[in-house]
Amino acid sequence: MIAFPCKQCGKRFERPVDACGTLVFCDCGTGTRVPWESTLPPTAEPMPVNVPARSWSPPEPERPLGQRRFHEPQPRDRAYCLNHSSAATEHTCADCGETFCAACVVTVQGGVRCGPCKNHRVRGVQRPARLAVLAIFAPLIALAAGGFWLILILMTAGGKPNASFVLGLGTFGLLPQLTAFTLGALALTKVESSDKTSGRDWAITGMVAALVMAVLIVQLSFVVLQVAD
Amino acid sequence: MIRCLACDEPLRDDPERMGARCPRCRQPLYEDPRHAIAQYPGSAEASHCVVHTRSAAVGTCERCGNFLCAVCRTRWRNQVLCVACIERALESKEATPAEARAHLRQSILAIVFGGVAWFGTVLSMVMMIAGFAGNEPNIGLVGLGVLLLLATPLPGLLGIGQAASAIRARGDHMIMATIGLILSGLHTGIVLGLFTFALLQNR
Repeated sequence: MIAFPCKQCGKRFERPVDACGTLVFCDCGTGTRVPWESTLPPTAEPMPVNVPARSWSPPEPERPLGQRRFHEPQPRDRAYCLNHSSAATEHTCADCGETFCAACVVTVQGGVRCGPCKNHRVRGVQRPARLAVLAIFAPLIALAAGGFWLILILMTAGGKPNASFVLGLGTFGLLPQLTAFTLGALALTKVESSDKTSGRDWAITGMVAALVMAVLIVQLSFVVLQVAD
Repeated sequence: MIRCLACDEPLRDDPERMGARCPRCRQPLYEDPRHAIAQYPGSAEASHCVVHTRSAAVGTCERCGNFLCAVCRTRWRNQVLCVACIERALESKEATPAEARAHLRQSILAIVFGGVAWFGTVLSMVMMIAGFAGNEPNIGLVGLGVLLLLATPLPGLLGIGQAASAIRARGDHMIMATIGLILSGLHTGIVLGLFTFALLQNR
């Protein structure tokens, strides 16, 4: 083992012999190359390996519910690390609230966390996003209601349309489009505010479809109104 | 229903709310507890973690190459990384493989939908011209052409949605997304413009 200090802050590093010549980056940000031989005196004997507070054994094959073996949790002193029963508590995990020694925690996303909580958090970040339901409904409502209303207004043009009836039909036809646009906007807000929600394409399609359908309904209503006049 | 590997406690709560540890015995739920605990080096020759200098290294980070211990070791998109590299990856908001695939899919779909809209429009025009070409107009062909023309805004709208989403998400296929937006947006704009023009002409 080669022992050497950081050339900036003097922090002690130890690397195996085959790591000589490689760069090691210190917490202070300085890179120090591993020397060919130790430039610091060797440390005292390493601390004895602490046996974890609870021993763990692999799960046994599934047993019937009545015959399950329950390992009763042992009461523990929170002044000592959960994993190393002889090490004094130095940190508390921000997620699980358990107490740990310095060797059992890392600083992730601005908080001190234990290994399992850090892994759980990182797994959560990598989880695939879920599709926003509102984003699906927005284009469906816009296109279905828009198509239906366009056909309905066209059908009224075949007879002798009443101007107020056409105007009312056109105005009423805008309501589903307004609903679709609102749903699309809500879905888009949700997608933009959360990394775990997807469906931006559906939401935008719904909003654009609602706008285009609304314009078409207004235009067609004017055409039919001209026929009525 | 899942059970704690250590104490066999049945876990009925929402996994998100429950967290990473068993609420009863406080052992890790999703990993072998033996592998999650930092071990002190067994011999003087053993490597040490860069962050926890008294802990034995269990490997090296696949990005920066630093030694890491069992506590620092983190799986990130099929790579084993140290905490510093995880922090950098989280801060840079690098696109996940799924996001990159979605961006490519949306960009391609935008071009396809825009192309289909324009192809449908040209085809409907050809059908209508062919319908009116003879001495007696072919009403069936003209009607089919009109129906096709009325249907073309649908792929145009879908293309706009896909292209706008791809452009908003940012990614490696921005040119394709922009082409898709131009194709689809131009088509929808022209259809609406022609409709409005016809409306104004008939007044």
